[in-house]
This record gives sequence, C-alpha cells and structure tokens, in this order.
Amino acid sequence: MIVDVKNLVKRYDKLVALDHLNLFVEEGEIFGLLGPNGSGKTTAINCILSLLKYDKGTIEIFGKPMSQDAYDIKRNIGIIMQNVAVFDELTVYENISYFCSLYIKDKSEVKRLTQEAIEFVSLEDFTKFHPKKLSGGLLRRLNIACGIAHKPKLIILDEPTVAVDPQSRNKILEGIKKLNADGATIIYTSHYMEEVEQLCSRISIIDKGKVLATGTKDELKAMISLGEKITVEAYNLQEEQLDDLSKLTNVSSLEYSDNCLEIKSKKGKNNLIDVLDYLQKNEINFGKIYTQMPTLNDVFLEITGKELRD
Amino acid sequence: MQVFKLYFKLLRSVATSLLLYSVIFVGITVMQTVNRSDDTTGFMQEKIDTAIVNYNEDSPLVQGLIEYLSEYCDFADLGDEEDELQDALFFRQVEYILTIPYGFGEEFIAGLNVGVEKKTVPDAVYATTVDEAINTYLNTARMYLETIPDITEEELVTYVNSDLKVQAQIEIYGKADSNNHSFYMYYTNFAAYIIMSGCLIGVSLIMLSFHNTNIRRRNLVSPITLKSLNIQLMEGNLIFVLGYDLLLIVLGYILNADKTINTNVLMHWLNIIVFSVSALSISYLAAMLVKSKQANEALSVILPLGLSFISGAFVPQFLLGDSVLHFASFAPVYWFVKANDTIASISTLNITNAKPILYYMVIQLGFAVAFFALSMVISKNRMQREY
Ligand SMILES: Nc1ncnc2c1ncn2[C@@H]1O[C@H](COP(=O)(O)OP(=O)(O)OP(=O)(O)O)[C@@H](O)[C@H]1O
Ligand SMILES: [Mg+2]
Repeated sequence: MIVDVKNLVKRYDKLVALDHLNLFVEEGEIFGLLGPNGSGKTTAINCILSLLKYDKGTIEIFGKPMSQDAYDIKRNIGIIMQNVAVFDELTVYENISYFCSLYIKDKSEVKRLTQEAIEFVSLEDFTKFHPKKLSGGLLRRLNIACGIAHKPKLIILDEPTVAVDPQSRNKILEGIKKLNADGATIIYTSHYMEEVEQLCSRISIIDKGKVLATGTKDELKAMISLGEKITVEAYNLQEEQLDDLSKLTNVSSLEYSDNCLEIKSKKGKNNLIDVLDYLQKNEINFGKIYTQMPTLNDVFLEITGKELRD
Repeated sequence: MQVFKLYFKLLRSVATSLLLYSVIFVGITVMQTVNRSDDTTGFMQEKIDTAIVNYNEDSPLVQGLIEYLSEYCDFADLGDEEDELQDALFFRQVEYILTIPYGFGEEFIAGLNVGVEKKTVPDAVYATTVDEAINTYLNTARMYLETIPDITEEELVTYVNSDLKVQAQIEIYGKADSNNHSFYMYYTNFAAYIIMSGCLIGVSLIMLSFHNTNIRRRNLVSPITLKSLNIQLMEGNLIFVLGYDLLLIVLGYILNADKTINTNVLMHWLNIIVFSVSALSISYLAAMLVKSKQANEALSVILPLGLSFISGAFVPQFLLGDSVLHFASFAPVYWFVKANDTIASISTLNITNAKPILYYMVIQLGFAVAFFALSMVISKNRMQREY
C-alpha cells in the first residue's frame, strides 16, 4: 500500500472539514478523489502531506507513518498544488531546476531531469520566460513540471486543470497517464467527473469530508439503482400515454417537453425495447433515439441527492 | 546550498532598483564633494563666521586658542541661549558654534581629557579647517604638557604660540583638502537611507517570496529541513547586506579625496556594518507584516525616507526639534546617525571617547535583536495556526 489514511478528522474551529476520512492507494494506481467544491479534497491532501495539523487519525505513506520530518518519505513524493506555486522572479527553467534541486543533489542530474520535465510538459519554447508572461494553461504546465521533475514514486495532483483551456487540459491528462505508465502512483483530485472517469482506475467520492463510496467507475455505477437514461424524440404524446409509459417495468422517472421524452430506468434488461414497443403499438411517431449509461454525476446525485456541480 | 543559490537569482530581479539607488547616491555625493572643493580653493581669504560661547574667558590657554583661531574665524558673541544659537546656525548667520566649557583651561593643564564642543551646518566648507586648527593647537599644547611636567598655563601658551607661528603657513597648505571627517559624516549619514532602501527592496522581496503560502508549502513538502532553509536564507541575507556595505565603503573611499584610513574612518565603516544588520532586521519584520510585494515596494520608498529624515541622516540632528528626535530614537537610524556625528566630532579616538560611540552601536544591535525576535514570534504563531 502506498498511502493509507485511517479515520482522519480535521476541524477548522467548528467546521468539520474531514470527518473520519478513510482512504488507501495501491501501488501503480491512478486514484481519483472526486468531490464538489469545499468537500475537503485540498484539506485531505494537506493533511496527508503533513502541511496541516489534524485532530485525529493515522496517515502512512510507503508503509511508514508520515510526519513533518519524514524526509525519506518526502523525497519520493511529488506534489502539484491547486494554486500555482512558482517564483515570479525566476524563469521557467530556473523554477523547475530549483525545485528539482531540493530533491536531487547531483548537478548534472538536476540539469538532465529539468530538461526532461520541460519536454514532458512541452515548454521547450518558453524556458527563458518568466511565469507572468505565460498563459494560464502554460503556467499550469510549469506548475506540474516543478512537481514531477525529480521523478517521484508518488505524485499528488490537486485539481491541476482548474481554469485550463481544453488543449492544455488534454496535454495534462495524457501526461498524467504517461507518468503512471512509467511507474508512478497517482492521486488525483477533481470536481470534474469527466476527467476522473477518463483517467482514474479507482475513485473515492467525497462530500462534506466523508468518503461516500469507493471503487472502480464500473463498481460505483453498479452501486446505484439507476440503469440507462433513454431519450426519444416523440411527437404529440398525451397525458395518459405518458402515464402508461411511466408504469412500464423499470421506468423510475420520466419527463416530456418539446417533443423530447426522457426516461430514467432502473437496472434491468430490455428497457429500451419496452419503450419502443409501446410507442409502436400506439402508433406514435418517433425520431432520434439514444441511450446513456449512468455517469459519476448520477452516482453522486443518487448518493447525496445533489448534483456534483452546483 | 540550493536555497542560498536561489537567493542571488531572486536578487537579480531587483538589481536594477538597487543599482539606481547606488547611482543616485554616488551622484549626490559627487555633487556635494565638487561644491566643497570649489569653495576650498579660496580658503586663505575667507574666514568662517563663528559664534563663540566662552565659559572660561580668564584662562590664558583659552585666550591663546581664540587668538590663534581668529586667523580662521570671524568671531561673534551671540550669548549662550541655545535657541538663539540654533536659529543663528539655521539662518546661516554663523556656520560654526564653538563652546568652551567651564574650567577648560584648568582641567587641560591638569592633564584631564577635555575638549571643546562644536556645532556646524551640514555643508560648512571651512568647518574642517577650523577643526584642524583647534586640534593642532590643543595637540601642540598637550605635547608641551607631557614633556615639561611643571609648566604653567602662561608658559604653555607662549611656547605653543611661538611654535605655531612658524608652522602655520605650512600646516594650512598641507591640510588644505583635509575634509575627511565631514566627508565621512555626511556620506555615512546619507548611506543610512541607501542601506535601508536596499534592504527593504532586496531582503523583504526575497523573504516575501518565501512567505508566499504556495511556495512555502512546496518547500515544506520537499526533503529540505526548515532549519536548513532558514539558515541558508539568513546566509544569503548576510552576504547580500555585507556586500552592499562593502560597495558603499569602497564607493566612499573612491569618492573622498582624502585617502587616509584612520581610526575614525574605520569606526564609520564599522558603524555602517552594524547599522546594516539592524536594517536587515527591519526588513525581516516588514516581510512578516506586509501582505504583498506592491505594499512592500511602497514601504521601501516611504520608510527609509521618513526615518532618515527624522533621524538626521539628511539634516543634522541638532537642527531637528526635540520631539522629532525623541520619536526618531525609537528606530536604529537615529542611533546610527548619532554614532556617525560623534565619530566625526572627535579628532583622535581613544578608549574613553569611543565609549559613547560603541554604546550607540550596541543600541542598534539591540534593535536588531528585538526585531528578529519579533519576526520569529510572528512566524511561530503563524506556523502554529497551520500546524
Ligand atoms: N484555513 C481554513 N480555515 C477555515 N476553513 C477552511 C480553511 N480551509 C478550508 N476550509 C473549509 O474547509 C472545507 C474544505 O475545504 P477544501 O479546500 O479542503 O475543499 P476542496 O474540496 O479542496 O474544495 P475546492 O474544490 O474548492 O478546492 C471548506 O468548507 C472550506 O471552507
Ligand atoms: Mg481544493
């Protein structure tokens, strides 16, 4: 086990930011910590890194208890914070090189790793730039390069794609996959479920400082009752027909507006066929049809009763 | 070492500002020196308007001294009202005030370490000539006093007078450009402003970068210990400040026509170094209290200017009001200037008359300790809130 967090409690005065949080991360995983704004992701990361004092719980990294002076643990961690942390007075190259040199003693090795990190985030054309001159996306990439240049075994990224254009975002996500493929274990926090779904091998959903569910994305989706969502373009449906439809087996809810019928079905077989059968039998004209498997947002919605994004 | 190296990379970003300050400093000093040397060319003809406050009129030694000085001074008796004398100096009615203390002659003969007191306006170009004359007279007298044990005051005066009549012409030519004392006094006093600005620009900026929450966190999660980080930063600060001192000392040496390095000059240099440590401590504290780099920039303009002004780095302390000086005494600049003025007012330093100077230096160091301690307390408190 790379990271093992047990019963972590963190209070800010009266606010309980982390409420008996339990997490573990296995070697080689891309572990996702998914939760809405203010759910405690950053607080959890800061506690894990001994940047914050916590009230209760134990934290082990690489099988050893983590503390402020656990330098042998720190040496193997790379972090990318939610807020960009670079020196405005230094160039791109100097920033990466400085942070790398905090981990690596050998000068020529620092040089080599800095160069590699620059190539990794594709900042070759900007090495002499100062951070203030970089666009938001490039700045995020610099922030990442500063965190990973020393080739850590465990990389923690706290919402690295906030306020990033799609192009940079894709580069970042691809990069993370590549780091993982090269052997690093990743902890990735986000409130973008699409990202987490696309990237993470295992996910914990957290809200109000508590882990609500943990598993692979398929396991999480299997935990909820919601099956597929069916959308049909159907014309002139009458009240009683909608009533009939809602009584079909496995239909859990139904909405109809602008000739668009939306059905949320429970898990089960032939849900779509049942609906289409009914429409045909009642000679109702219909156009486009599509179905959608549940997303992590649906999982979140079902567990908490609210949307992941406010 | 990484942090130490980083320190100087960060310093690069303020190099232009620091250079600009130094250039302005050199410019002003050169202007002052040029003015001074222009004026001194005609020194034989001109005499300095001097107010004399004589509390020992009946002493033959004092009479002899005044007679000797009348070659250099136009004496005026303006009474001994402090305020009136001050005004006379302020409005340039006189450029020099010479005070002979009670029982001066008697104590001098008794071999006690006594001296006359003087006040002068900042750019009084002939003041140094007068200083030299006083020193020459008293030193000569002291020499006779030591070689002829039972000499009377009258005899002493006769010897000294006949001696100096011969020497006078040569002496004056020889020491014509000897404005060493006053040069260093004005130069070092003004340097207070430059040193403080330099520290607030350089040290505070770098400390602020490191106090930035995000950067601090990134440093804290790295395997470097907090202690090592702080030590390396302190080393960087000290090297920077001492380097800046050295630059100012060398510049002063280059700009001053007089290249003698005597105890006074060394004391001025020591005072610069002592002061820069307290300026460093102010910058540490400022970086703790100030929230942003913009605020620090504003502070680095206002604070040095304000403190230098009220502490007498630009205008002599005796021209400033008592309440201003009282207020100023709560900052180390005041004590730095006081030490400089005292060093400049003494012709030959010895253990006794150096005491107050050392005392002023200790006060400056006291400020430094207090400011560092305060910064440390604030820093600890802040850490505890997080950890
Ligand atoms: N220093 C602090 N003092 C008081 N409360 C805090 C502090 N930092 C965070 N909080 C509170 O703790 C809770 C968790 O915050 P945290 O920053 O960990 O959330 P997050 O999941 O990282 O959110 P986001 O997605 O916005 O980054 C929030 O309610 C926040 O207001
Ligand atoms: Mg956060």
